[in-house]
Amino acid sequence: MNFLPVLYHIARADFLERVRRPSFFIVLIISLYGGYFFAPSADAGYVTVAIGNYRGIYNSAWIGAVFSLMCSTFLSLIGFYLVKNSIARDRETNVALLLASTRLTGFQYLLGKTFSNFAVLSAIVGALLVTAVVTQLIRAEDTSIDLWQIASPSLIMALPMLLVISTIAVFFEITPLLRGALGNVAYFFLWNAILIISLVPTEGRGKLVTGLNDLPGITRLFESMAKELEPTMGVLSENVSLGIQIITDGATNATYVWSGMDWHPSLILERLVWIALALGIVSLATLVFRRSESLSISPPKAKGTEPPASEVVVVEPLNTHARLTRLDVTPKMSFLPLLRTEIWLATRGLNRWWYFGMAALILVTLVTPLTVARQYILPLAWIWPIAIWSAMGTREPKHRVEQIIFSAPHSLRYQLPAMWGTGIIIAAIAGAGMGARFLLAGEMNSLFAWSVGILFIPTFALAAGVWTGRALLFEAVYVALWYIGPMNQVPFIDFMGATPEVTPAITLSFAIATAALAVLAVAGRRRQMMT
Amino acid sequence: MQLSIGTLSKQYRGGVWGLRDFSIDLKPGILGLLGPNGAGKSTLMRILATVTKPTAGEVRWNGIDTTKEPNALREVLGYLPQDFGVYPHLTAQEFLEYLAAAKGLHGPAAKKRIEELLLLVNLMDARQRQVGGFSGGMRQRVGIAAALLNDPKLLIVDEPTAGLDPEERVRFRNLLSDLSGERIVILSTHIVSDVESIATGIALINRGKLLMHAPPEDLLTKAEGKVWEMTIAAEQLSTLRQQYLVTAVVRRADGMRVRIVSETSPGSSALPATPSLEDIYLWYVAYDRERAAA
Repeated sequence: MNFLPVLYHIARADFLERVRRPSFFIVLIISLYGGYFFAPSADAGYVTVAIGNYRGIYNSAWIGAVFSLMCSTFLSLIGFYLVKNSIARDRETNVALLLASTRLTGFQYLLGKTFSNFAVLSAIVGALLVTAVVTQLIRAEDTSIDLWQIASPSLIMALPMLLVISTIAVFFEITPLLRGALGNVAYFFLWNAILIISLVPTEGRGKLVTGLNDLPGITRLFESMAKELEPTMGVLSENVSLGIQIITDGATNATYVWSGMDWHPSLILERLVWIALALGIVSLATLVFRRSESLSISPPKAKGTEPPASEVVVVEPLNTHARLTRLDVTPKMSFLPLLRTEIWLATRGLNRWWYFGMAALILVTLVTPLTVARQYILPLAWIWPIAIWSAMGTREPKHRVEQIIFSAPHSLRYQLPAMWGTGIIIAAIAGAGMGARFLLAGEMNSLFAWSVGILFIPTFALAAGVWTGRALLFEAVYVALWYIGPMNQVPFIDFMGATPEVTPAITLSFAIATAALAVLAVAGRRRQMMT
Repeated sequence: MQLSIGTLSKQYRGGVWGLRDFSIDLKPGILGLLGPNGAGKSTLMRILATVTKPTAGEVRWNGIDTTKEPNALREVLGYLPQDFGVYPHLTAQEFLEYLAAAKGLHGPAAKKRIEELLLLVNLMDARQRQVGGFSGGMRQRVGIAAALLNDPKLLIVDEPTAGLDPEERVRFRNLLSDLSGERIVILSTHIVSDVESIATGIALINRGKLLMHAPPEDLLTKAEGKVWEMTIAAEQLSTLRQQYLVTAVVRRADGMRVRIVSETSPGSSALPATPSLEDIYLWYVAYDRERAAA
């Protein structure tokens, strides 16, 4: 088979299928909107990229670097979740069956999918570069446009990072353990590690490490940006800031002129290493790739109750002699039986290690010092059931049972609350130990936050699930919130009482958010039920 | 017990009409809804099952508008969609227990009903197996059992024989016939043999419109004197097809035995034949296509 044309057509078909979906345009619009605010005006009250108290004037070089940093950092996070569905779609649409019966090699297939992922992310980068030009003109600090200065940081720094992310998405999709919620959580930590590693200082020199630890290209850009300021700067790694930094009262943000990157050959070579790494990941993925398993072509194996081969049940033809009697009771909707069956459904398919882990977390919450339990164990206990929560509202479309469920009477009044109740019960059980500790210690603010957390998490999951039909949105956003808030002890994003400083006002804001999400969930379900 | 459908229309995004001014009144019995792929059968079924909202028109169940009060119908509805899935980790029994609870049936009554249904669809021995491992035919049986859980007054089955082998199709057909009794059964299909022996009424649908609704015997009477059979040389077939609606061709030693639907005799050697429902179906659909092309 002709390698390149095949590769081109796999990537092209997949790319077109994705960019023609409305969801792509929503992401694109959000990205462009985000891009515009990533280069804030002088009086915006915040900066996103700064070296100490300095930021560059908005010339093409600085704008180009800012947009490149945005792509390397934020787009590499959101983008992973955006593209990590390429192989899953082939499975769901049965296109996998058609492809698997061809002479297509695993390497061609996975490389094609990688290029498709990369093309989707590159399309967003391309749109962001247009925004960069517009932003520079609007900010009007320097209106001379240099297209190379604007585009080169994204092309040389961000795109290799996004190529690697594209391959990681493919790798995660074909690895059974990383395909679901665990993979989505694991990627968040991997992304975090990539950013941290790129900024690790060495040998106490205070200089940023450059070279092969810097996949996002952050260090290289900051190093160049800081060069002109170096005599007045302290330790560079402690003075760079990336992300929204609020300018406090009285503080000023001085500007300086940065003339852009010097793209010397060694730097280009350094970036090529990352492209080689991406190809290496695809090659590794090819070794892991099991055509029939990864594309779900083998019939699903029943677990647990599957009888041994010697006892395989012979299914008799449809019974034409049996007669169905009239139902002697009138069906009457009842919440509790439905709740029971929803709990069943939610916990089916979990293995014994999951239950063991859950029990261990509850136990550890009870026996560790309160500060440890609050700061570390409670967040862990409330990330453990993430797959159960993220299935809420998405289970019906995923398994194509929505027509059957939604045509049942009073589904909105009974089935939806039963599903929601299941999520709440799971949250309450997982956090039970911590709730008891807060109560015994008389920490009422924390107990209040904990109580709201029990409602907030499943409500958020349900709303995200019914509106998107997929688990990804909740898994990605929840993990980010969980990490930034409770894990990093940031009180104003603490929705569970993991920080001692959490106030009733903060908790109340999450309670209001919960109520809003509940309304959103009901509205979304109503829309789901009758298209 | 009456289901009245009045000038029902459904327009999809892009302006495509899935259903247009469809009206029909139904009483207990089996309605065979016949139409080619894309005719609008599934759109109609989904609207009747209250999972799709019509753009215009109304559906009334015993006088109640189901687009405004869907639960009035859902309480007595059994619906087997054309394309449905299962929760793969549940056993057949658990899946039915879950759906029973969703339909308001629980406790011993649910257990008894599920047992009876498992016997009916002959899945008693496989009831403890996870449905993820079931074949297409077995899943279809689980689907019909699920649809019958609440002893529905209105049973809607959308292309239920798709994917079943011929023997199983016959059994399934008989099962539906037995189930009809005091309920309205709507069976959609594009396979005429699925409905010709069991339907008490036939509705022909094409391009979202109702072409004809009548008892099968009335349809057959209408076609009397319009169906012909004749033997021709193989090379004449394409010319004949351009002039007449050929509904069947059988290759024989003396040439091609063709079956034709035509108001007038297609040739001197043509002999009148007994009409079948398939002839009528093809005739109406072809006529509708001609009308659309004109």
